[in-house]
Amino acid sequence: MAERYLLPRLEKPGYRGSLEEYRREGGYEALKKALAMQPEEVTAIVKNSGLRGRGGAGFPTGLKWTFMPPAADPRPRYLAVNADESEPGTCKDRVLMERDPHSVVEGVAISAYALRAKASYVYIRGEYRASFRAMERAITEATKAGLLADRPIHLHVGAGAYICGEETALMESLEGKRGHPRPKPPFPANFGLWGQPTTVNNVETLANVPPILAKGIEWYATMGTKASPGNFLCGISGHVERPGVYEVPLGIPAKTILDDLAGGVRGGKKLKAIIPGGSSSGFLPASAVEKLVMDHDGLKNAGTMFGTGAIIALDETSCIVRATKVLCQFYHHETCGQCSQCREGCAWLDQICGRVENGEGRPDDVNTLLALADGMRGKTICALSDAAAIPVQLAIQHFRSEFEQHVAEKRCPFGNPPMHVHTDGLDDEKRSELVEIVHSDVLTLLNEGKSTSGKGMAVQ
Amino acid sequence: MTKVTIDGRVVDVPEKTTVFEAVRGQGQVLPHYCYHPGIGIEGSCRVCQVEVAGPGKMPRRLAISCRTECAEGMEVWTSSPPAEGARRMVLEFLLKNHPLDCPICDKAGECTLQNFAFDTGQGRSRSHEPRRQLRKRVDLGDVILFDEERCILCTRCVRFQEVVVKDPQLGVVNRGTDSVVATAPAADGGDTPLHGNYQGNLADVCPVGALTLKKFRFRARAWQLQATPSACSFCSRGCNTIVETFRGSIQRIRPRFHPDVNKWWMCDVGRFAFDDANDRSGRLASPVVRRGGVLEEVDYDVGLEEAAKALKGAAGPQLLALASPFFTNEEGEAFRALCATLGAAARFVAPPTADPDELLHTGDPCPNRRGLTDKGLVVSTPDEVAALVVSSKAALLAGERVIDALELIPGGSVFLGNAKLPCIVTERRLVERDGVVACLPAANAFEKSGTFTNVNGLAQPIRAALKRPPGTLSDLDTLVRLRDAVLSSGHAKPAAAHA
Repeated sequence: MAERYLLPRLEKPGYRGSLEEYRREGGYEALKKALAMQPEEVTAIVKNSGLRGRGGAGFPTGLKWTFMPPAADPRPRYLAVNADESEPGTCKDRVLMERDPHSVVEGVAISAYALRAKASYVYIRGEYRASFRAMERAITEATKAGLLADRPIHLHVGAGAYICGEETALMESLEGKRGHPRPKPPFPANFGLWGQPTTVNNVETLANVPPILAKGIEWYATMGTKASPGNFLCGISGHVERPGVYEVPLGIPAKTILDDLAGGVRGGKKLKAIIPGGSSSGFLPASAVEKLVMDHDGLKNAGTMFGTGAIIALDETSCIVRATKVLCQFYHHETCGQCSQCREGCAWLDQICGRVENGEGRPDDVNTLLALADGMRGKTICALSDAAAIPVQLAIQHFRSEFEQHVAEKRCPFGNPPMHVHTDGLDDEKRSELVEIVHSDVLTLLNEGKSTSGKGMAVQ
Repeated sequence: MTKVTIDGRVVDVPEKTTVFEAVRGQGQVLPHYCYHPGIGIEGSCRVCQVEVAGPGKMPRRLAISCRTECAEGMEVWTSSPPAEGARRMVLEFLLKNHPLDCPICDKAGECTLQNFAFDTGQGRSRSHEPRRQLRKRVDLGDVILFDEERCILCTRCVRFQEVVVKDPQLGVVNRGTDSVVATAPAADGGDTPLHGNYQGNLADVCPVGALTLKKFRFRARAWQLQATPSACSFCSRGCNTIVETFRGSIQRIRPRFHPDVNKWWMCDVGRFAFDDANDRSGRLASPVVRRGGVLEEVDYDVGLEEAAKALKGAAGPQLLALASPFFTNEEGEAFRALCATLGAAARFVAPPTADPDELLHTGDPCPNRRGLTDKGLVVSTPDEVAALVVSSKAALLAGERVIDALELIPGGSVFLGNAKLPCIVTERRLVERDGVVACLPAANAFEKSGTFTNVNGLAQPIRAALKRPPGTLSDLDTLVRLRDAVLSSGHAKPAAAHA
């Protein structure tokens, strides 16, 4: 296994992530080094390191930084840190924020310096109370120690909307508006927070910056692949023996993570499929997992995307239709409702998958699902519509017969009880009754996935 | 100028033109819901998609035309299979939960969801799911009734209030599929009513039948309406309008686009003030003269002759000649000529002005103040008229609502009771005053054609949307023939040149 640089510190027994402990481990040396350089030099180092964003799109971080206007531009500029981590299956950023918040704060401080940012805003997912507390403490410590100079870091707590993890919706939310993604262009580097130049980076991405500064780009290139250097935090959940968050180099075979780190499929069962990069990346069948390489190109070649690098494993007893329905239900609940296709489409996909799973499928349903997914993909303001469409497309691409079997047999072949299909616009009493049932479904699924997380390396 | 290729045709468009407007310039209107030229670009309905390639090496791709700016060398395909497919798909999504209650929807026939769905051949839906059930009759105040189910969340109404009126009263509440347009919750948990003078425009900008005018609900189908382009007469702005009638009554008045006057909008004062015009009861339908102490109906020849005689008897500077503020330029000219013949000063009565509102209403109730002044008529404020009635012994009163205006002025009512009134041209049935010698029928503002000159000096045509009471002359003819009658009074009867 290659060298690890993100988790070893926080895995040390007794490490509580205080400023003193972090400094004892060599923390804030990278910041000192960065401050001795010109901001443009720091940007160049990050750019040359080849670091790619860990939030989902995998865009080269340093290149993104260079999109900011030149230093002569008098407008204030901001760094927004995306700590919304709302992609199902993903639980990596919280590990850093909760257990080693100074690694994030140092990354933010260096990046803010490189970007000449007036201030940084960390947008933390509302449910992440522990992350918030840890980050708040770390920022206070760093501020008192004078580490942030005149580049303050502000924390902002989200209110539990998936869409606020989309960078422009995040900015709208930070501004106090509805979390609706903005049409692009203009891009954030030119028109971001409050209309000023802004860069939005993911927590894990920024946590990669101090090690790159401290140890250099040659060292960084020894990990990962040429196109995707470095390590990433892989959150693995679902039907595996040891779910958790693991630090692994990009380009690692998926099998290594599944079998060697996560201990293989739970209860000795056979693997049926994985969701390779967070829920939006859809399903890959076990056969495709054999040779799957976990990096941006590898997953692109497999017809999906690296996303957040979070794997969800499904064993042979899992019903793909049901799993698809659960994902659709999630997007149905989370679509912001701005674009027509996404608002109506997410609900429609959910309803059809629900019917098929409940044995009320119609012969044309599978084709309708594909047509809807096609009508939703790549045609909206943000990528949430794609995120809802891709799992449906991949599920049908790889498991079409399972859908057809549901329709033909008018039941779930796995003997699952009926699911409740969310119906819009019912009266409040009926609705709350249904919502309760739907929530209990989701909870069951989550419990199945996370019940053994205690055995994981990092996540308790 | 920018050169772009639209469906194989090379066209020049001004810089910064959007693809949508460039296509519209070629005579094709792409489906659109969230985009409205007066409200702005939102980019959320996604229904105006076309295929574009360029600028430069940008590959051929789908893009929403409303937000895509034309760039030199760009190529646009509006009807390629991907473009049409994408648009058809958006319409299918929008129709998925739409109630399709077109048979009972006021918007049917002028609904762009209906029209564009029809254009793309949406005969059936693939949906087998239950449709969303929401509130069908949300009372949003005096003007608007809101049907949540029909709403396609284009947010034009929300943005109209924000951008045009600058008084945000609407918003989208809840998320995703549960999104609905709403006003703020009231203290009792209900919906806060809308307020302001521009609520009617919400029904205009709504592309579907979600926001409907209470006053127009179930009054007529859109295709039954007869449209008359005109200009509003309820203030000096002169908003361009379309007056829509059915079975001889005005059912609705809508704004008509004019770039320099009212853009796409009009105020509720002008939009809804047509009940009086529709009310035919109590209208004077033929000339009336006093005979043996009582007023009785006569034909025009007799009526004009009697009026002319009486006017001639009262002629001179002491005759108070007051015209209606609703006279057109043409009527104003005829009135001025009549007054010159009688040796009286031509005046028009100007009711008190109010402060202008935030957008269009000027506060001046005289729609043609500028035009009548230009014609040489003297503006008479209520105070001035009040002074005049004290010194005058007789009056010529002509045109719509001039009596009403006079009655509101201090001393006006007393004057009407005491003065000699040789001739009144009125839309009222009768003016029962002792001094009345002759009454001639007048038209109201919706019954006449002519021009009004608005507050900025722009002369604009108004057109009759309603018919005058049968057999009655137009105000212009009445004034011209009255003058002829005055000139020939006592001589041989002139030929009925203006009959």
